[in-house]
Amino acid sequence: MRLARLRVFDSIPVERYWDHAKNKAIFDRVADKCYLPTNRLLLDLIREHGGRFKVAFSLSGTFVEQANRFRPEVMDSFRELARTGCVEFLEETYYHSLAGLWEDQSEYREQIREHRELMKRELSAEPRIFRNTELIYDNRIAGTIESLGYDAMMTEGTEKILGWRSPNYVYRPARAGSKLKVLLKNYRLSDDVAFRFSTGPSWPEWPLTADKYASWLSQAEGASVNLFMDYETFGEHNWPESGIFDFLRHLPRFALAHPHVSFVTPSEVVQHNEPVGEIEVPFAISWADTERDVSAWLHNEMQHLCFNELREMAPLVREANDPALTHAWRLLQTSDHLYYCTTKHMGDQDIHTYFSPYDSPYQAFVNYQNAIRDLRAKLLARTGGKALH
Amino acid sequence: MKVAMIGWEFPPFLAGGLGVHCLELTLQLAKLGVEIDFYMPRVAAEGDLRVADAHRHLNIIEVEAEPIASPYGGTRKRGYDAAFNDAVAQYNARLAREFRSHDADLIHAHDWITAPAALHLRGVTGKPLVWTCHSTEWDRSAGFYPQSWIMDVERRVSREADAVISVSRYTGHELARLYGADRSRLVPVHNGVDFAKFSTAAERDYGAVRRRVLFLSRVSRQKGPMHFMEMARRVLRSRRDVEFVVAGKGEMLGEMVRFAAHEGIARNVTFAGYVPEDRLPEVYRQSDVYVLPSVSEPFGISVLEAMTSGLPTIVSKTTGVGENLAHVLKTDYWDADEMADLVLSLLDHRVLRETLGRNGALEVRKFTWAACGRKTKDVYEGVLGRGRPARGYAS
Repeated sequence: MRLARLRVFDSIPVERYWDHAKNKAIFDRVADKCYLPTNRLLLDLIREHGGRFKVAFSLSGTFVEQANRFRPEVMDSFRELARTGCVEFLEETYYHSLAGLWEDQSEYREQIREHRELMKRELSAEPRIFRNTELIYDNRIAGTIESLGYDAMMTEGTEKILGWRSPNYVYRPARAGSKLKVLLKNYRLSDDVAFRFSTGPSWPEWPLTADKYASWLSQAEGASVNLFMDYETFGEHNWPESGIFDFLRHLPRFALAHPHVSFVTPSEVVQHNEPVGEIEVPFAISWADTERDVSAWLHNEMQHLCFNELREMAPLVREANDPALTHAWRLLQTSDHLYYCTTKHMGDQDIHTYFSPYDSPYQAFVNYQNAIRDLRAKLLARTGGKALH
Repeated sequence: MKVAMIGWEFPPFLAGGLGVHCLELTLQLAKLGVEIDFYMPRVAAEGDLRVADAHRHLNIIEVEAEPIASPYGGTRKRGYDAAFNDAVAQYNARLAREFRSHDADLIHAHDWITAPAALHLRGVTGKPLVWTCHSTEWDRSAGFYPQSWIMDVERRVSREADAVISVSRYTGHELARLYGADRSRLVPVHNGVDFAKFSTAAERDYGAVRRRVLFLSRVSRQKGPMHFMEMARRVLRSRRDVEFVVAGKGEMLGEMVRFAAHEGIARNVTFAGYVPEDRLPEVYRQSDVYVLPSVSEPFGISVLEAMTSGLPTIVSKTTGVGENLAHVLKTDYWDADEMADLVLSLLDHRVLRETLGRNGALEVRKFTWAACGRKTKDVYEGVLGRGRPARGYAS
């Protein structure tokens, strides 16, 4: 069973970009409600089941930066998890950004390289498997990841690319000669925990008990059932009162009681399984919203404007060659900023607006633009260019 | 069903928000088969055009009254002088005498100005009373020396009416908070807007920006005019190529003019004066942003008018209509910095103007007079179903 991945954390720009006090308050809250208790629980479970329970994480660079700044003990607990030998860490872009969607993939590669160095430095880890921001994937991204030498990458097991096929098998990109393996998230089973766990009586399967869920897992067919979700599922999106921690505590026991069920890391799946088919993804997919494409970040013109402006700043950033400005430019690329500008229907917005500091997507846009504009002005000042207004 | 409605304004005379509401509401109620006797003061002298001649869907009964300006509009100084108070008392007294809708099932009164007569008539006839609050004395005064005797009237009627309709949940909360009105009898019913008249969103070219920011409202303290001026001053510190238009008249106009002159921004502020009904759509069409920083606004029909025309809008958080709108920008009424930031961003980014403007124009479609009429009739049904007995003229 594969679990968790860490969602990138919000950096919130106000007049001077990041509101450190607010970031700290949020990080503290989530650390106390989720990261620390869940890590502790996972450590207990790993010890309790003598190596038969395994877990994988994807931590963004911005998450690690904030952990180190605000609550170093969170990183310590991840290191303790790493030492158990039952935990795998994945690669993603340092900034949880959408650079993978740029035609020029060089910035994307840079951000991945930064993440690689971070994993080595902080966790002595060398990830072999990549998962892109919000599981965004298309043919071009697959090509880049393969060329960087990763064994496999993950994305969403949507019918759009699978058709009738099951996400519980390993696939490969449709490009001739591709050796990359692709693992697909089983969204039904993942979302049962991540989204539906606290629904209440309106969901026929509520309450979801560990034994019931374990029996569902045991009935699944294929090489592996890939369960990915935001780590905040445990304690934040689902409060302790919902029973989510009890669920997690008892799940391994019930699952392992079925003789043919075992927990594996992504690398183990990749090592022991060959692709059964190809996936052709010319237009990017993701795990977000019902559409499972990139509309969550790029459906309206306000989002397009911000996305394009940041992308077009790349030559200016390179020319200015200022580490602080480059870092700020990259932090502004974190997908959350675009997400706050969405004007789609309310349902899917609820998860992210829980963390949104803005009252409306319009105010999010205004704020985001203020930061972008300010950054551009600073870059122009550095390079002596003319103001574009 | 027959309703004896007691009002004050009715188009074409003294057509402020209350008058528009009464016209639209009665049109909808008539469509739903409700017979209406509508009482209002006779404001025209003998021989002049009679209001009753202009409308066929209801029976207008004009009650003798001294010609007085409406407390809701005009440049009249705020502060009810003795003559005005006398006129209101006189209207209410004459109403009580001239009431002849004995076959009506209930009485529906609007605002404080008709409340004394309405309560008296309820006591005398035993008919249930529905009272609509369009604004409170607290709103109108912006908390600045509210007249306590008017608040007393509002307190009494909001507690004693069989049902109280407020034009927003916000106003409903105010009634409960200020007057201890019984929440179980409070029903918020939103106003509507004349879409056909104001709908120019399709023709609007968001790329062609005039950099014009509009304040269109009665120029009274309630509407936050000085906060608009503060915001203008801050915007103009950043860019001088913005025009602020103040369209309307009221007792705070002079202060706005003096501020503009004193702060050296007079060249960027146009005082357009009162805009007649037929010219309103044009004014909205020619502007880029609409700002209404009301200190306390029970509803804000002008917001709907502006948004229907596709105009991106900023309202205060204490504006009733905002409670049911997502595609509008909301700030604290006093936060000139925030308003200025939003205005600058709107003027700079076509995508923001267009996204907000087009989505807003679609969103306001839910504010229909038909819905207002239906919900009002529902309140009537509710009150009649309960069959309250006459309470008598209790003190």
